[in-house]
Amino acid sequence: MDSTLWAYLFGPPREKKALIDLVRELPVFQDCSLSQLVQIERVMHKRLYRKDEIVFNEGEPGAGMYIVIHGEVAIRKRVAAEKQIVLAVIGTRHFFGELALLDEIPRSASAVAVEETELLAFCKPDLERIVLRNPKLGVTILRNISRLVCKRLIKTNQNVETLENKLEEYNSRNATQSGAGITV
Amino acid sequence: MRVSLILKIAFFVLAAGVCAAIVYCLYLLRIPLIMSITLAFLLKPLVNFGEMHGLNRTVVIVGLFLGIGLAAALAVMVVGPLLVGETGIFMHNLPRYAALMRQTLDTAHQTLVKLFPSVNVPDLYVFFKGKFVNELIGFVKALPGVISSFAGFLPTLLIVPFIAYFLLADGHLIQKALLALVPNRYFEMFALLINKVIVALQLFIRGQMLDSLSVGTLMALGLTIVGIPYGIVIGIIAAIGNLIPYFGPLIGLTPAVLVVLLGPPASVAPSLLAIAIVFAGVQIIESTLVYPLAMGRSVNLHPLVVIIGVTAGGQIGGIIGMIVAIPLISIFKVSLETLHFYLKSYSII
Repeated sequence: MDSTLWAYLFGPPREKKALIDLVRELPVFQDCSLSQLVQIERVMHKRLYRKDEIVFNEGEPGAGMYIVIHGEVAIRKRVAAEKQIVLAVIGTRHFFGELALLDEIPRSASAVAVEETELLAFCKPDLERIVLRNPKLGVTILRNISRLVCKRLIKTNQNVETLENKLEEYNSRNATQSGAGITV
Repeated sequence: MRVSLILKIAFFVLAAGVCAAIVYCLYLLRIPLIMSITLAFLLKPLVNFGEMHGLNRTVVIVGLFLGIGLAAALAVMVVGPLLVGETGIFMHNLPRYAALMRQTLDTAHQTLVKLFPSVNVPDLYVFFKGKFVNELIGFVKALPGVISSFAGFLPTLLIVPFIAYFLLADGHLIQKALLALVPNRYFEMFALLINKVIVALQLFIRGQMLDSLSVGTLMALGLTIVGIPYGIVIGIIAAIGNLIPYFGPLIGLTPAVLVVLLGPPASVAPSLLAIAIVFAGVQIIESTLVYPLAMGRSVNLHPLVVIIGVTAGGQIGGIIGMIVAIPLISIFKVSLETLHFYLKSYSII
């Protein structure tokens, strides 16, 4: 009998089951079995942030991803010395910061709790431990993250293409008008 | 307002009391704790390997403990009587060895006094006896006692696998509990930091143990094959001495040479040659094969730091101090380096 499955069926309180259900819905953990989800939930860290409390700062090494249990987190990017823009607001049952699971690259933006927010953190060392102890599960998670990165790359490529087309249009229009343009 | 202040003070007093009690308990359990942590670090790769191949982690841990228990019992049954016999004879001959050492050191002392008449040369025998010889004698005297009074160590030995089991099975939950105490601002930094320090420690302890075990086994085997007496005892001394960088090999070599010098005069030269060959062979295998494999990714300390550390360790705690000094300095170095890196990365300093 798989001890983690046994623990899920007969041991953990209702709160744990709710967290497992939350994790199950995320694309990072898709295709994971129930016993694997129990393992993942066991290593995750539940943390409570007050309103305006910083989850992580732009430029700092990333330690892992966060799932919003309840509340909201604003993703902010510094555009000038004293100016920040809000790139996105992450709500309940959504996640952010998953690229830090792959490498300790500096965070590309800051994350700040908009209201009192409860987060579930899944850190890089936790993933490394899973890869070491249960490679099948590790591969599943890494493949899911790769899929996410791929999707984003395709979207970014499309955006670049659209921008290039627009730029070309702008240049040709400008060239006919004044003989100058922008080169890329 | 006053009530809340009293409550706060009461809380901090209580928390300090609890912390003090925990520290005191850890102090009382320091030897089984160190043994458990070392055992857990040594067995972790095997447990992970078993789990990786679909075995239940608990089953792997229990199986390994049973296997180790069986191997230890066999070793005690086979090597124990040999070791008790060897150390008994060694202790019987010890006054002769001490007399020889005194004679050699006195000669060296007289030579030094003649060479440097203006320098106040200390009595070398008194110096060495005070520093190391008494401790070495105490250690060798304790060896047969450890083996024969196995029952006396049983409570300690029983608690070791118990703690090691929980470290192996739920080590990550202990880390998780510790991280839960860290404020949000430092959570990410500590999540990375704790892991880095633990991995470095694991590599260091595993490397040191493997290296010493190899040196001890090779020395014991080599000396026994070439017919030098007390091969097992000298192997154990060499294994423990190997924990001290630079000085370690000499600690293993000295008793072997002393034993040969006190033997029949006709066999001194061939035996010394045999010891030199065994010693050179062990050192070559250790430095070219074992060390790069065992310690390749471990902590690198500057030779000067090692020498100062070992000397200071020897001043503070004798042979035990010398053995413990380098692991402690390495742990401190790794922790400090990693902490400094992350404190800088997270703009805290």
